[in-house]
Amino acid sequence: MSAQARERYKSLIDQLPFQYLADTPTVRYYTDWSVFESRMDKGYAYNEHPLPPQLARHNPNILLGTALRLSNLPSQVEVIDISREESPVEPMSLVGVTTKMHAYHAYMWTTGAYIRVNPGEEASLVVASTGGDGYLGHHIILEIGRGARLDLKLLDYAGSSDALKTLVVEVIAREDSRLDATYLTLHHPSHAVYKILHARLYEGAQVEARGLTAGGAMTRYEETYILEGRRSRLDARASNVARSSTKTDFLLNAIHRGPESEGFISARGVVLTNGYLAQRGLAKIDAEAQWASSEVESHVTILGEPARGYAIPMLEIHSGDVVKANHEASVTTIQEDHVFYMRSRGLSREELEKLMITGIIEYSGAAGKLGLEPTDIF
Amino acid sequence: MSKGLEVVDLHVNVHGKKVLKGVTLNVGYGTIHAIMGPNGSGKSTLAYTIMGREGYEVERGDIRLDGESILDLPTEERALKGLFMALQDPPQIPGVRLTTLMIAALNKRQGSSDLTRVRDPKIVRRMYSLAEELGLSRDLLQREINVGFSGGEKKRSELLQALILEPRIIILDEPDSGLDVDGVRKVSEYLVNLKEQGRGVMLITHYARMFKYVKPDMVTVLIDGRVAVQGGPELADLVEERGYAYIRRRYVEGKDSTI
Repeated sequence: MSAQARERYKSLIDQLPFQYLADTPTVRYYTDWSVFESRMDKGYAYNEHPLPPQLARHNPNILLGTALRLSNLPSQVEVIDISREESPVEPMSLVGVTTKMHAYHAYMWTTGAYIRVNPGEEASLVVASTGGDGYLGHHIILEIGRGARLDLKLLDYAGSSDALKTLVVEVIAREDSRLDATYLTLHHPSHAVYKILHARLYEGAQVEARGLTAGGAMTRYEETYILEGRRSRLDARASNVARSSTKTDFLLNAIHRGPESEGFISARGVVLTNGYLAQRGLAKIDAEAQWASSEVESHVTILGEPARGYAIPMLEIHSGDVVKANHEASVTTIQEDHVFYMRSRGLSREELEKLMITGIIEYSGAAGKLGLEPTDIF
Repeated sequence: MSKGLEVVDLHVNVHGKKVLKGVTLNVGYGTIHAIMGPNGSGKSTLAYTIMGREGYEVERGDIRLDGESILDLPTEERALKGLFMALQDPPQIPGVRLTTLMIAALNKRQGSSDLTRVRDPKIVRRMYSLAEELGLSRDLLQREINVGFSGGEKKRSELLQALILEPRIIILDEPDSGLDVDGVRKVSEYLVNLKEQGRGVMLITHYARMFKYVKPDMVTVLIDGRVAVQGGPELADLVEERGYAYIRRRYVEGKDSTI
């Protein structure tokens, strides 16, 4: 990124708002921007948090901390350290720079990687990003070549520190490529993380994504898929856990632009003790996306007091020719009839809660793929 | 000592309202005891009270399993002692898969602290095999409990759990509602199997249509929270032919307790 571009982003930090419009008349912002605001002037981290054993055993091929480190990189994959060299794809070109946190990340990020899976190749890759005792910003651009297949594990970790991390991942899935992605977002309750994953799917590209998120002091995580090409397909499932004293604003979006594109986005969340979870999802079918089909669902279970949880699925349809467009949502607490039902099977209320937590953690399939037990994220 | 379930002079208040006013009946092992009655007669209250549901306050009387009172036991202890209730309209429980529930309930019965670990793969095979016989898809077993289930799927799922958990006494609250003719026949076949396995079955129903396929050994008709009349399978035929208004006139208002 040129010095000139960086300077432009610096000036935008003060000019742009965290967000333009209030989210709802009752809940103004689902993200507590004040947590980010209070940490934006922290200096850069000198250290990085080591990955905990349950993540380190996946032996990341690409590790972003205070610097970029590569290990046993598969031959089908090329990596460029974009904090030192020019990136073939301009950082933030997919996401855009329209808000204060976009500008902050664009100006501040320190470590970045452009990753390319060569056309027609097949590869498996583990990429990890870790936090530090100060600001760390990571930028990843992942390009999956035409007809290539990638099995990706993306581990986003931030340890104990009242620090700030930003992570932006821009994915370009070229024609007829396949991405099988497993995401883990594990932030210590003291850490604040601003995270974006933005993917663009070209004609015939397919993405199957499963994520598990346990956020920190404030984790804002926006995962957006633009189904740009004809017959591009997305199946994205998420499990979210808002542990005690944590706040997570999770957004999972599918934007259909390609005709006959298919999208399914689904999230399950559980909120514990005094945790907070906003679980949002937007399925948008643009006018040019004729005969697209899209489903969005969001279910949140609240366990504990004064936990707060919101499930907000939205459908926006601009095309008259749609194959399917569904949405469903619920926010539930444990009801007496749930407890009676489980007790009539021999299980106590506490055991019901444990089963619910385990079930929601395992819902997306990410925990299973990463070999994680529910205790690994508490 | 009596074997099976005994309900003795049971008086029950629900949220301050007296619903059961002295109900006495037995469900012996290897028998099917049908509980019939019009809406509001106290059939479901009887079932919930036997299971120890909160809010169902026993004012007088006793409930015994194999001669021992279970009144002081919480619901889960009653279940672990061998009682099982198939609910009329079981709730949706997001986050917990049907297979997880059955495995957890089995593990609890075997004293395992790890509720979700499959200890014996044969159990999973048995689950799938029984589900298939009952007309439930494998996909449904992996879904969250009752989330998106049709009325018939809920009934079959309740019966599947009873078959897997192998309780001593099974209480079925209107297992035929929401089922088509084939479904009623299938459920009836399994009730007969359960009886033949030596389990006690308390079958709560409004209608006698199940009795085309399963003959109860004993029939109790409840009206206004009291036992109006008890008898053999012929009593179910009488209810079917003449209706509850006749039963009320003859046995409640006429004070006649014989058929």
